[in-house]
Amino acid sequence: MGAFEIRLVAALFVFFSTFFVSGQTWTQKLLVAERDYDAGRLVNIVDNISGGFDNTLGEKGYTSEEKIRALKLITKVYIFLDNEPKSDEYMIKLLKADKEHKLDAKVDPAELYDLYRKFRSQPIFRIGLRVGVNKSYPNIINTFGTGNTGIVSKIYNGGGQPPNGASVNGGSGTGFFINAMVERYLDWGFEVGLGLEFRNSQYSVDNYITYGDSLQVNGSTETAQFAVLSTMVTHQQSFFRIPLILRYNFNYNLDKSFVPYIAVGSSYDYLLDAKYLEGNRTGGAEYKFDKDLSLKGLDLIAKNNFSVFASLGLKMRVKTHFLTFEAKFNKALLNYINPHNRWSNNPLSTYDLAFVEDDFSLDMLSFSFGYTYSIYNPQKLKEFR
Amino acid sequence: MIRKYSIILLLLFVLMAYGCVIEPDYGPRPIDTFIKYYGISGSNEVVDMIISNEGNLVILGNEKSSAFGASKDIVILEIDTVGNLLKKKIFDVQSLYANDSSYSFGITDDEAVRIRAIDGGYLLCANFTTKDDNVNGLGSKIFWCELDDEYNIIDKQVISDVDYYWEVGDIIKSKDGNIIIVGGTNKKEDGDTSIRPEKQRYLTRRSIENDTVFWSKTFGYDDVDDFAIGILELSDGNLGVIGWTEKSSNEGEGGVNVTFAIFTDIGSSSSIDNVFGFDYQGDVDFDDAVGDFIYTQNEDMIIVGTSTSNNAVNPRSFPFLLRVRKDGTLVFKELLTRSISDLNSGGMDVAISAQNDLIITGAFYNYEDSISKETFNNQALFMRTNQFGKITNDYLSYKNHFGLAGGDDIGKAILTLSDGSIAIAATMDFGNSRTLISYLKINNKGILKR
Repeated sequence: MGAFEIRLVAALFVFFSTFFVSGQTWTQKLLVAERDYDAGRLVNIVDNISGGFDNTLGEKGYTSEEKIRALKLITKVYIFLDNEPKSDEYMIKLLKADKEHKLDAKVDPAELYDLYRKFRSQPIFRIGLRVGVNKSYPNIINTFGTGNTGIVSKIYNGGGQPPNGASVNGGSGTGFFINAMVERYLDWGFEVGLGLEFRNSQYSVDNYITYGDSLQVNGSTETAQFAVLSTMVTHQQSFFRIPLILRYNFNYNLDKSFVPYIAVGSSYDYLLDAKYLEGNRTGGAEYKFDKDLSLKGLDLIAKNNFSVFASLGLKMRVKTHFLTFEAKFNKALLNYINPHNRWSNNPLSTYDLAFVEDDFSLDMLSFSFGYTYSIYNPQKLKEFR
Repeated sequence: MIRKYSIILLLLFVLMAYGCVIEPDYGPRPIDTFIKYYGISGSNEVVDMIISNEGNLVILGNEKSSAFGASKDIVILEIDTVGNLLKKKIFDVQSLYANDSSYSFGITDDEAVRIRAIDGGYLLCANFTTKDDNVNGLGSKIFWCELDDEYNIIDKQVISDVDYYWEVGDIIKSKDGNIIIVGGTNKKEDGDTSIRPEKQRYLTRRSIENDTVFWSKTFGYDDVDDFAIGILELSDGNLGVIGWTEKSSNEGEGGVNVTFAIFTDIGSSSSIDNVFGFDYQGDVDFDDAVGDFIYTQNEDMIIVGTSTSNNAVNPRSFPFLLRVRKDGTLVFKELLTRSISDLNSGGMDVAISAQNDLIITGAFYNYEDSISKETFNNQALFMRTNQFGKITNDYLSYKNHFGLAGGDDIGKAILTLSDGSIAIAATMDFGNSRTLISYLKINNKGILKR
């Protein structure tokens, strides 16, 4: 074959190969580029596959999975071309396209690992939204009452034994809450979070005025308490809370679908409103009760409080986000009641219902369900810039 | 990284540590104020309150069960400073004399009147009526007894006659160890020269051990009723007797008026038998009912009560305060009309506050809040005046009312406690014949606040 013929064949080859290449899909082009990379032909890879990122291509461009492969391939190419700015740029693009991208030790080179570790691949913070139910556990500090408090105690949330001739009418003291929290992962499985919470809760109190009298029990005479008056009130309160949390995640690992955790925290609690939802008295005749009376307005309740809490929970991974299930016990640090106004500022309950509040911390057990959304901003770590 | 968040972590742990060690101190203490209710299912009412020999409070009252056919009994409650019921004693005259062949009272309704602390115990006096009028006669009789410190009866006596009635007003133990009882009766004792009286002031000196009657005397004015509500033994041995009469006062006030008389130690009347009355805006026809009285260290009597007009068109009632020296001289008499605007009210008891003012309890009738216009039935009353019984501008705010929105509540007794706070014993009305004895411990401004 003469020189002319050789040139002709070469020209035809180039022409057809160009035609062939230009007729490939971006999927095919990516496959070809990956083969070129494996063969060490790095020079044209970036040019050959960059066009597939064009969003205007729609379905003709890369799929999400292909886009990640392409970005990773370009990153590797730039690493081996010693183009650090570009490799950094494409690493960021890769981490944006595939949050918390996992490298594969079998195929990914050590150089890529080395570059990867220089970038922030974890979320900068997470936003959690939780809703749940709570049950109040008033923790009595000191008992006050209009009856003989040393002998007969009030019954909270329906749990207790009434005196003779009386019944327990109070409810179980349940409420609800909604919580939004910004969380940040620190290290070693620890996270901190700061949030806002609206909590609506209730407790009920059965209160008795009694007298002692003899009672025949199994043939013997005992002194027992008999009710003269009995009162039931249901007290509802709503708080705006600012919780601060420190959480430890067990096995915090991208491979784990379920992450159990424990947490402790504290909260500032501001009283939005408090009132008696319900109030009634057995014994005597009519009584006056005003369910719209604001106990906050009467300065009967402490407006500011602090609390600490501990929780036990489970995160269920959904891609890079989480569904959360949590049980939490919240202990208020300060008295719920303003003791200075206990007797004076709510004449209707003190007289008509013969009832005053104890000193207590309003503790809560709650169960919640939530969703935590991870927010990323991949960047090269400061120490590697 | 950890260092970056060390402040947050530190704050957390400080708060958590605070949570572990905090122990709020809100326990009951003597300066705490409160209200306590006592009683059985039925009606329970306050009559009197004193300081016990142990420094606690003793409330004398009556109780009547809501059970069908129940009768009214006398009840004594001893309460500590934070309102705990320490002792309770019930006396039923019928039961006390059930095994006494000298009497056949049957079912009795008993009305406690007064309890006095004496060395080693107490004196108690009460009225009672019997259901069996045929045997015991119509009207009230007197039961009185001496109690030990545990309120057990040491000795007891009755003053009873089929043909007459007696009502007790007060009881004291005189310096000679005998008992002096005052009250009223429709029986005229020998030497009583009054003409056509119905009820007379009655005085008697007795020994409780064997019911020796040293003397019994009656005094009164012609054609009107008189009653002796209180007695004290003066330092000179004479007896000061406070009461009421239907006779017009020395200054011409009509209606029922207050009396203060001096009797000798053998019950003879002296020249001092003064009658004091009140008028309001020119209206002299007021009934002045004595609620109670105290006497000061210099033996002045401070008397509190209620002046109620007999004007059918615009009936008014006000508390009054009256101070009389032991020689019968009037120090002051004041109608407490200021600060209560159009409200009607009455005084039941008086005490001297830690600030040396006068404090009274009683009732506001159909109380209406001047600001909120909220209306109530009768409310227990607290008022404070200066030592001359005047409500000056400085005292206008020392006024308060306590009680249920419905029901007729009334303050019956008031004392100043050693810490300067004030104890009020009141009857609170829960309606449907359910009343309870209540003990209010309030601050020196008259409110339920520390």
